[in-house]
Amino acid sequence: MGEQKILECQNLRKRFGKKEILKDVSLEAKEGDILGFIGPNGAGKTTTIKLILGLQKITSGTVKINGYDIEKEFTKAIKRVGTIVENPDLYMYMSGYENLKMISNLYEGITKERIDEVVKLVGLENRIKDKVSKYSLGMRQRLGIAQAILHKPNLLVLDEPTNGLDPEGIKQIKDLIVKLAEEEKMAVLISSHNLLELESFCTKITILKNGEVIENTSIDKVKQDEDTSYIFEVENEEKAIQTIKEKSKKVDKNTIEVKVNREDVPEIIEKLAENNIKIYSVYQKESNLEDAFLKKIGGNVID
Amino acid sequence: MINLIKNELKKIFSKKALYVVLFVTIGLCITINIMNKKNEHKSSRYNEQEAEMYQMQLNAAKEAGDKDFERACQSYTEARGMAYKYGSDSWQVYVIANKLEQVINDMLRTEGTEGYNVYKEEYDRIVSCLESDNWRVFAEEELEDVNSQLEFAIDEETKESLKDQKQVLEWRLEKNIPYGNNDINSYLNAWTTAKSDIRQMKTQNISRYENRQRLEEVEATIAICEYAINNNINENVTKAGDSMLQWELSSNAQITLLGVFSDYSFFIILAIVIIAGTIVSEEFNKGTIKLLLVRPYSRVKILLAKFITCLIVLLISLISVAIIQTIVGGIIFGFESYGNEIVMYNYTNSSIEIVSTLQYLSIAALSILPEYLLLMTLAFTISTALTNTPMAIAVPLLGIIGAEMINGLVLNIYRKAEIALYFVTPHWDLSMYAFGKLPTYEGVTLGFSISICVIYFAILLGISILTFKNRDIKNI
Repeated sequence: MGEQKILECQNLRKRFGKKEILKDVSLEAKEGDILGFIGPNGAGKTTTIKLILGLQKITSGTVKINGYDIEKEFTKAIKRVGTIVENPDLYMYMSGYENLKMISNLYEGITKERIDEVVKLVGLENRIKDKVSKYSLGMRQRLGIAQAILHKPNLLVLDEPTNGLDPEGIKQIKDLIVKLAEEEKMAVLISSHNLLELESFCTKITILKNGEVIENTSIDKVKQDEDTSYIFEVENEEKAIQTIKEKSKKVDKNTIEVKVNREDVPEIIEKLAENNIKIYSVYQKESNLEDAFLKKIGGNVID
Repeated sequence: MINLIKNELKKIFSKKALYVVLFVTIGLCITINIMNKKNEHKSSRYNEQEAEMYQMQLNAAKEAGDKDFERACQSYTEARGMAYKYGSDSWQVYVIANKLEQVINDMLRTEGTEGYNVYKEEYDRIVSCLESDNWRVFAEEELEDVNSQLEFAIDEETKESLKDQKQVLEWRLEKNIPYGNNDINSYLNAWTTAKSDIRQMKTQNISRYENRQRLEEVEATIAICEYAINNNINENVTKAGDSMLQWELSSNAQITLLGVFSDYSFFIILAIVIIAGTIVSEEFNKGTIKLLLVRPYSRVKILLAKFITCLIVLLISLISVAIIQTIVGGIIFGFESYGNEIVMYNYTNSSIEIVSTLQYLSIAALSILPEYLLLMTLAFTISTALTNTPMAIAVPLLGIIGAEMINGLVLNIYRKAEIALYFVTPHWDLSMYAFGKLPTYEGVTLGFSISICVIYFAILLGISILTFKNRDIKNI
């Protein structure tokens, strides 16, 4: 693994008074990683992001960005980070362009051309001179992404960036993130409640529940954990279940689900045929992150 | 850091509320100037309504056929008609009020034609002098009168008072100062009053601090009046010491400008408190603070940039209020008075000091600066520590009202409880030290006042920095 570690969180703990919000959270993101950060409401996603960005004090543990500790060397650590936290809160009484211009003042070497380029990238070129107060939530989200990538960061931390975007907007943002990760070697940490979205483009996934990481792995592995199952459309489902026995269950009329590996499927077909049960179709059941997720986090308690 | 400040200024100047305050200030400025202009025409002894009333009485007398009453009304109406003709500020009005009316009274009170004719002659003589613009005759008569009274005066008090009157009359004749209602006559009046005040004061316990302060002020008034009379300055400004003197003088653009920082203080404070009270808390309330704190600047720098921005705004508001007043005052009163010299009394070496308009304004601004600065910092600190905009604006504004009460209390108790002097409000207006005057509170020094202000300032700013530095940015 010759890739550069960009974000490294170790054993993060956060306590508000007596209440422990985060218990021992560790994360890691390398160049080109798109790290999906999933958890139910109140699991501590936004708190983790705030600790990473230095917006809240860390009770114990460390956050390192590009090798710099966020608390000890804040300005160096934060220099190459772009972010949206919670909502894209920009100055409503100014135009989108003025907002970007102000942010560009705070970094070295952001040219007018760069601002124009970013505006084009997020598709706001027609409305950029309007006041932000006239923007829809989706447009503000785009402007939020524009300000996050303006200074060419190598770590992008996005808290629910697809909130309020239309399907086309979501696709654009997804494509943009993938492009940035691939071409600019950015590491992206992205939290979202929309799990299907993350599934389609994240390379790694971290699942948080009640302030603890319960899964920290690559996306394929999450899917693998779910046993593969096949859907059989048959004439008589009762008889079929009796024939196949313990591994099967009824899904619908004339449909059963059987948990088997791929290599065992022909054997089951044979068995059913022997018992004169007509088979209309057999196909693999689509597994997705949402199922995996719900299975993992089942019973999150907000306290 | 400079870029941070630039951004903060940009945020402030893209708000509409600022321009509303600006327009209200200009409106207020115009109102104050027009009011001052109206006040310039002081109420005269003779006015139109009175003249009308006498005319009506005269008509009534004619109808009734009462010869004596008709004659009386005739004379008064004539006198008032003359006063009206010469104008309320003319020297003639003074003679009419003080001399002619007396003659008319005498004329009416005498019985028989012979006595009447004596007074009638006197009456005609006065009227002809009034017409020929010969005021010196009256001054000389008055001087003669005072001289003869002096011969017969017995007690010291009366003698001194007559000597002062004599001095005034001698000045009139020597410097060619006619009677009338103008600044130089106000100086003469103020000088006479101050002289009698000082005689009265010398009989009191001079060692009491309050008496010493009062004495000092009266001495200042005398010195300023003498300077003005000796140099025959008719259109000028004296601001030192005696507020009574200030009110008697006519208003002009320069005088209105000199009072700009105290006349508009509430507006200046309102503007800076609104800005300082929102500059931090608004970012918290709107959530924009998150995107500000993830920039490569330490929190202390971000906060200091905001504070420096407030300082710049304070400076801008002081300068712009002065500029607005200069222009509005100039348009309403005329611009020529700005070049007038300002006569000040230097209390340390008991001498007259001449300052320019700009010098005076600088001194006034520096004197009031601690108050503005501390109220601004208070708003800023509450804005940071509580992130509550209404509180951050309301508390300093209440503070101005509270300060007056506190200062009154401190004045009463500071001799017994010295600790009261460690409160900041008695110290934040440094104008009590201007030109070496005895300060309001006995024993305090300029250095002490500045130190108290600096300590309070440092505490407020310290609280602000500490809370901002250690604050967890909660969900917004």
